[in-house]
Formats: sequence, structure tokens, C-alpha cells
Amino acid sequence: MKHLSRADISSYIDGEGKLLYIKQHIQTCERCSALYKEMCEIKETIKSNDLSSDVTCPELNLSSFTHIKNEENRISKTVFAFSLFVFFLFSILLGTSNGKSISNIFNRKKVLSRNEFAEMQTFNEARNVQQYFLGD
Amino acid sequence: MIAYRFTQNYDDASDIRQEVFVRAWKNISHLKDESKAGSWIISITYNYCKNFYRNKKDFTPLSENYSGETKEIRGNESSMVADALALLPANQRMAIILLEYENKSYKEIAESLNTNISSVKSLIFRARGNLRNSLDKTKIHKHPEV
Repeated sequence: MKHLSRADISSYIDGEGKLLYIKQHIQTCERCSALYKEMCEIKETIKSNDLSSDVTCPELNLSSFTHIKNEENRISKTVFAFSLFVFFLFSILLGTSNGKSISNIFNRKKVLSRNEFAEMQTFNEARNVQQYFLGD
Repeated sequence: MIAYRFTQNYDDASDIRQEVFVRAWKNISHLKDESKAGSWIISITYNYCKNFYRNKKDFTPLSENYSGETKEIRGNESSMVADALALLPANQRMAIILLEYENKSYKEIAESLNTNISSVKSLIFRARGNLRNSLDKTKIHKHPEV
């Protein structure tokens, strides 16, 4: 008969592994039964000598911990969005106060083309004067 | 409490708890599944416990930390079990603490130690073997002849 490994017996006493098979084997095999008893004794010795029986320690309340963290994240997102809004608003106001209103920025092309037209008019007049004196 | 069971030193356990809290606070955004929060905290504690003694230059083995008075309060048998646990490697010690005192399943232990269930099975089995040898020397545990 094939005997159980110590690892299998160890996991069996913790309620893990192939429980039914190991239970049946231990009932029939004297050697494995002795190993099982030995391991149970070790487990009992360790468990009955709790190292921290003389110490009390507050446990970490994780649900309140995550709640505080989520709240903090929500506040920081709100602050970020608000500061972004203020920055955008401020940049618009700053542009207007420099004499460049938003409508001026969009009409820039139109103003420039008027200037060009004026320059061309001056150039034509100068050419006419030149023609008059030189007789071209 | 896990830190105290691991270190058997109240001051060290307090330091570890403080640091674990700070690390958890900083990295809470990495925690996707809140149902695994317990394992996550234990995992941080375990990693910090390992590094704590690695970085601590004046580290003295656990068994040498006990004063005579502490031993008296605990009783002889508890002290011997504590000594035997102190001799275990960090991963075996943590696995036994989680199993026996925190009543965690193999799956939960595997999550906490960032390993798989078969490794936990092996860790527990080897830890029990080492504990048996240590306790045999101190004659607490008398196992039957096989």
C-alpha cells in the first residue's frame, strides 16, 4: 500500500486537500495514522500557545480607511477642476484687459487686409506722380 | 497583531504597524478589489517585516529578545514555542502565524504571501517539520514512535 506524504497529512489536518481519500487511508493505515496524530499534536501545541495573549493592539479599520481615501480623492479632483476653470477664466480676462478683446483676435485677418489695401492705394498714387514728372 | 506575532517585540511591531499604515495610505489607489483588502494589508506587513530585519543592523534573534520576566509571564511552554517559531525562516513563520493564529485558509495565505496554494502547502509542512525538531529538543512535544 502506498503511504501518504507528510505534506498531504499536514494539509489534511488544516481541512485542505483530498479530504475523503486521506480520511479513508488514515483509518486503515497504521503508519499514516501515527503520523497524523503526531502532526495534530504539533498543531495543538502551537495553537494553544498564542504568542500575543498578553498584548492588545487596535486593529486597522480598513472600510473607514478606504472611505477617507475616496473622499480625499473626490475633493482633490474637485479642487483640480475648479482651479482649471479659474485659470481659463483668468486667461480670458487677461487677454481682454491688454486691449485684445476676443472679437479683435478673430477679426485680425480683416484688419490686416484693410492695411494692405491702404498701402496699395499709397503705392498707386506714388506711381501716378512719378509718371507725371517723368512723362512715362 | 501580525507584526507583533512575527517580531515578538512590541516596539518593533509598533514601528512596523505605523509604516504599514503609511504605505497602505499611499498605495490605496492600487487596491482594485476591496474584498482582498485584508490579504493586501497582510502582504504589505509581511514584506515590511522581512525588510525591517534585513535593514536593522543591530538585529538580535528573536529568542534573545526575551527578558527573564517576559518568559516568566508567558510560561515555559509558550516561550519554547516562541523560540521554535523564531528559528523558522520568515516565509514559514508568517505562513504558520496566519494559519494557526489568524485562522486564514491556504488560499488567503497564498494571496498574502504572493505565492500559490501548493507552495503554501509545502511551507506549512516544512514549518511543522522544523517546529517538531525544535520542540523535540526542548521536550515539549512528545510524538509517538512511528
